[in-house]
Amino acid sequence: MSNTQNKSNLNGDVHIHKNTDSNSIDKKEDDRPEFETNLANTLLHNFGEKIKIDFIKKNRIKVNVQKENIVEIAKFISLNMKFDHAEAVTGIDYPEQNEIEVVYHLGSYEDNLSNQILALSTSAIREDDPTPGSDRTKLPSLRNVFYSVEFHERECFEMLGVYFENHPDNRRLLLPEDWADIPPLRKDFKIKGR
Amino acid sequence: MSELPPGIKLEKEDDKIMTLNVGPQHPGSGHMRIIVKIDGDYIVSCDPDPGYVHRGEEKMAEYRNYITNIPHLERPVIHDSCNILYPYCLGVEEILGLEVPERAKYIRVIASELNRCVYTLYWLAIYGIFLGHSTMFMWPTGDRELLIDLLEKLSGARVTHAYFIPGGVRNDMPANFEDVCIRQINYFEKRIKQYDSIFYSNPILKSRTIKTGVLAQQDAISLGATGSVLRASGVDFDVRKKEPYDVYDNLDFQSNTLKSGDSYARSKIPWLDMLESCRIIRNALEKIPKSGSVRVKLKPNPKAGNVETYKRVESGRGSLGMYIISNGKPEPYRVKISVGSFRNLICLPYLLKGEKLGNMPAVYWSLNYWPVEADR
Amino acid sequence: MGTASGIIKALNSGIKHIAIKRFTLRYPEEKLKFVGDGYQFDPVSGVGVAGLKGRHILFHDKCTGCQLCSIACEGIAEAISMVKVNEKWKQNKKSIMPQIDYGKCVFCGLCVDACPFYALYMTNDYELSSFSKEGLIYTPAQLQVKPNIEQDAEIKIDDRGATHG
Repeated sequence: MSNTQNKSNLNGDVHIHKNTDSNSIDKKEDDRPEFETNLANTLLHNFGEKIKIDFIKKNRIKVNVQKENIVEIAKFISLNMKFDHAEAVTGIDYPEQNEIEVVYHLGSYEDNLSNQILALSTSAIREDDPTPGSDRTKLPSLRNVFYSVEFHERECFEMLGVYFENHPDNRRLLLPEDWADIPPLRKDFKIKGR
Repeated sequence: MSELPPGIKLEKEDDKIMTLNVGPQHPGSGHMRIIVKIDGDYIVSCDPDPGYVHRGEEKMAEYRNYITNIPHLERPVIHDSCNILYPYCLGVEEILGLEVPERAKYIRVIASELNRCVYTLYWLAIYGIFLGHSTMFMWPTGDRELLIDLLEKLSGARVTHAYFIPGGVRNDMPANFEDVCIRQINYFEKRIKQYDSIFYSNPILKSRTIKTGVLAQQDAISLGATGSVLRASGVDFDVRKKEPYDVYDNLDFQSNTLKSGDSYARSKIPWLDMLESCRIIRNALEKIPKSGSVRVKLKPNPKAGNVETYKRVESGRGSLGMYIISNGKPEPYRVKISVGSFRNLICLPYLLKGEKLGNMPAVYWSLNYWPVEADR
Repeated sequence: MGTASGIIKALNSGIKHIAIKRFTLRYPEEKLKFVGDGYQFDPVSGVGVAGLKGRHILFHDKCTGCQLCSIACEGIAEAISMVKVNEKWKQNKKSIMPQIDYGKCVFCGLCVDACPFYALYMTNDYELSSFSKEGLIYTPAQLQVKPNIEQDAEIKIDDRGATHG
């Protein structure tokens, strides 16, 4: 196992080729923008199999990581790749796969990176009967890496019930204090009359 | 001492610290509650509590198809409704693979710049009344009428235009709109130049806003501030320049930055942007193709594949992004609206710490914060 | 700039406004003029015609009772419902026509975009207030009436400022 990981570390290009081919959006080798591919290769060189590239488009990269590695990778992105703030933190509920995906859209105010958005996604286990904060739907917080995710993660907690560990202020933000129903952006929360 | 009701606790160590609720129905906060702890006249800590006007726009968008989402998605900022629909339309066009006609792109730019001015004037009017400058309330509210009149001629509604649609705009410009637009924009530019003498060089305003709520450049970056807050702190970031959408790369304009990062700079950047908007509109009216289609035909219930897109534009309050995920149904699977107001809110506790309570309105409203948009 | 000169500058700018004309629109006496006869839509080219999105006008001789306007409104305001009318039209076998509740309508005009038969347009009439909620529900017969409006004020700009003339 360690042997193969070493191999992919040394030769990141091979790895990325394999991943984009398995993607639903078929991109030819020539179509892929160069700058974005280089950025993705930087990540692949350093983390190898811990990272799965979802897509590489013009100005947009999406990478998928396991929740155990997300803090480490986020630190690398913030320190070495100069992505300095989060634009949005989106939770998406997938009841069939039994998981909740959380996507961090990271941006940068550096001149050469300012048109790039790096989407860093991870997923948490979804409970059918949620009790936000005390069930298995937990993710490590990125607040110590990107200060700007503080309110976004609070919103994600109340809207989807994803508890962010090590977040200093895990309170409700938008919902009223007396909200007693399940988190409203879950797919099994239905709007009345629809 | 008798027993206190639940939820109330006395802070024994610091009895002199008082908790003050500003809002949610206070004119000094809009539809938001700001819980401030004050020691005498100084703010010790501040805890913003948004959500008073949360309407669940993101949840509503999952139940409606790509076209019927349009009227309700503009509700968070009815004064800036073209700009909040802009990233949605760009995103839907990408996932449906629509090619927007050239003329429609220019009309969109004109409508979006007019709308940015309408929003900024409304914001500026409230900033004026927050600081007790009632002339600054009257003038922008009156001058807004010039632009609302233009938007009404263009789109047929005074505030909630529902004018942008995936694939272009709803209707073409009316006859001789160009002349009326140039005439009113020129007069409008002359008018807002006078704001400098009555408002921005007013010594009372200056003494209240200069050096209050200073946001350093490094902090603005790490807090993820955007729009006028960021540019007032000296970071040159404007989505129109950095990631040009539609025809912004053909147009001649600049993004304004100031260095000082205080409330004065934050209130001046939107005004400089309005002058820039006048330039953009005149430039766009020169370059617009004289005729052509403005909208591509859509199927009644358009469907996209298993794709996702993140598009952003520069709204009146900074970068406004929409993250649209489709799973092959006529309705989007998930729509995330990432708004400038919500992103700038995190600066408020940081800026108010150690500030005088009387300076709170000056700092709070200079963040270009629109409570309804932040709550969505 | 010193404090004194700043105040003088502000006062000077204010005093100049004594000579500037009043911009206020004296609403019930004066009414703004709009372009065209209201928002219309051409289903052949798929592009609308600019105009105010006010109250609707329904052409009974063109309406086929296809319910497309009602379906379009379902996801938006649920203001349009189809009702039976006591009229016999060749193109309208079911004799149903839209009835619009202006207590719910948001005036987005997407129902006009949905109509493929040039039967539903919007007009310049925006004065729809009523003393009861029932008064806001417009039946097909009421929607048929062409509004009688006199709107002639326009923004005029000269050396002494802008006015509604």
